Amino acid sequence: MSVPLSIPTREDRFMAKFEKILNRIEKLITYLCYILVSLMVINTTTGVFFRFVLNNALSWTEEVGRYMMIWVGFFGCYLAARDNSHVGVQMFVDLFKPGARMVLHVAARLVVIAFLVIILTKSGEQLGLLKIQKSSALEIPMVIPYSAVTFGIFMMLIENLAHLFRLFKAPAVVAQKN
Amino acid sequence: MWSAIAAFTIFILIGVPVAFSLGAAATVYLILEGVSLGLIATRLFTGLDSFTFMAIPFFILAGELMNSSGITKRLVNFTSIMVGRLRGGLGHVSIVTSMLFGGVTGSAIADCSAVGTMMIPAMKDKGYDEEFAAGLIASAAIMGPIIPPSIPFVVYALLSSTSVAALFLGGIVPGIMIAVGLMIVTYIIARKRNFPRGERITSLKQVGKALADGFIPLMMPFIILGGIITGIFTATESSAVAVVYGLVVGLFVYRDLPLSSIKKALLGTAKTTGVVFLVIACSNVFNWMLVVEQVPQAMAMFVSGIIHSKWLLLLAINVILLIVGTFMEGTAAMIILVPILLKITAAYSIHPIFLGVIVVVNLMIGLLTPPVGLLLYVVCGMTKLPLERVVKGVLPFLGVEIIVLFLITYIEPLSMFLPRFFGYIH
Repeated sequence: MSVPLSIPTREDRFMAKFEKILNRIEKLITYLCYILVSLMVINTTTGVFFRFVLNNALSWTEEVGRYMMIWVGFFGCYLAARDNSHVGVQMFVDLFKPGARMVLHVAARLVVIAFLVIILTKSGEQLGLLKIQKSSALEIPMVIPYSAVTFGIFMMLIENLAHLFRLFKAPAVVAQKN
Repeated sequence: MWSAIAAFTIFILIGVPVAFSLGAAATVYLILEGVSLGLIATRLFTGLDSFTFMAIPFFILAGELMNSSGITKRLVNFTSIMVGRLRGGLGHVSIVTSMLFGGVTGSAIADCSAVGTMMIPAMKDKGYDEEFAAGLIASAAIMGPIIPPSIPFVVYALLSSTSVAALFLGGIVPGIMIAVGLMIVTYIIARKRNFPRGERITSLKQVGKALADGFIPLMMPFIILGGIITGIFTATESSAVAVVYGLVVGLFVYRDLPLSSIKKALLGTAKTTGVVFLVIACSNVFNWMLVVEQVPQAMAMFVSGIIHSKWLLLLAINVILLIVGTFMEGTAAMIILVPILLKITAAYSIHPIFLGVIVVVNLMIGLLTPPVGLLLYVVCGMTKLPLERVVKGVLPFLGVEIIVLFLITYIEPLSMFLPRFFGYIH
């Protein structure tokens, strides 16, 4: 990173603060992933133990496992979006000159953002509809597992918007990273 | 529907990640057809809400834990004793290590990075050319998901409502055949370029330790398969047991698993799961569109009109999958194509387990072909070689893997004997 010679503007300070918040969220989600993945393992092995050793199958382990898995999945989606590790094809984009490449890069981000915005509003509506629905085994509100989708999409959207901001602020640095 | 396919192609070309390309293309379709978009949001959830899928994070985690407790190093010592003395010893060691690591991991990428980080520098040191080393490591890594456990087989099992255990058993012989094929090619190249043999290990104590150390990771696939076959646990439960086994080995047997490594493994699991799940969820949305448009039925009708023999059909499927595999990611290709293929093959008495083995082996070969050849990019990253040179290194091995693919396609018992023997197919 090059050291900025100019005095930081209000916009810069805002971005710096924003990045700081994003880093905190990432850390929090990382910890939640440690906990949830560990709990998933404990949950499933407990299920095996109760059924096979104690001969007394638990009714709830499967459901709890599935819902934890969905949360982990969408947390993972966000973390992967943050390191740009969702698989894509860069080969054709690399055939273009840097200027055109940047345009394509921004276009690709805009497609992702448009998709995420649409899905976010729709999954928000779904959450509203699910208010009264309960899960079959534990009878927990379905909003609890389902909001993983909404949360994951929201965070991926934020991350993609932040990426565009970074791109306009320091195009060379960001372009190199991709 | 054509609008969605056109949109998908454009999105992929401009570099939109595969998962988002599928989801966004399906969204374009829904908007044009005026169907409620709420469907997409619902399917993102329901497409993942399955107990079987839990095997995916667990198999990833088990592999990561075993890798961070240093099993790769131990497997290398183990295989050096077995095949190190052959001409091109390190090449053979890499192949057999990759195969054995396949019994611990269910992912080709994991296999590639575990074995590659260790063996590519080692081969370079001993005067093997880098192109060869990179090509070999990438080609051998496809055994990761072919030898059980396997993430693609879990996905296939869910798509086709077949048994995970039967598919796992079906992958064993093809996996070993790939190892043998790669070793033959390595031997020929090693003689031509005069690659060295490994050193002789003389101390009996060393041999004993290497064998004992290597034995532990070898137990993992037996625990997984044994547990499922005897009915002690389901496939998903076996994956959780594999995690516990990995933990016990790392903490108490090798004593080489600090908390920081465990944390890294947990985080890596969450991220990889996220990437795989997003592809699965979005492919599901895309797939729903194909079903609504009755594409599987139309394709089945079309194919039965022009192809009348089972063998010709299998040839056509292989060629199409090899082409699809060059430009599509494996999981997405499977979710989109398997329902269509099942519909087509049903009329030709092709068993879904048999089809599953062929589809998975075929699409894993697709990990070695550009533009979407994930393994190529992994070794490019490791060696800093340009893509063309890695591709050149892969070519001879790719050839032999395609030969293996055709052997298992036309000699049915190769994949079907084990599942039949254990009573999964009647």
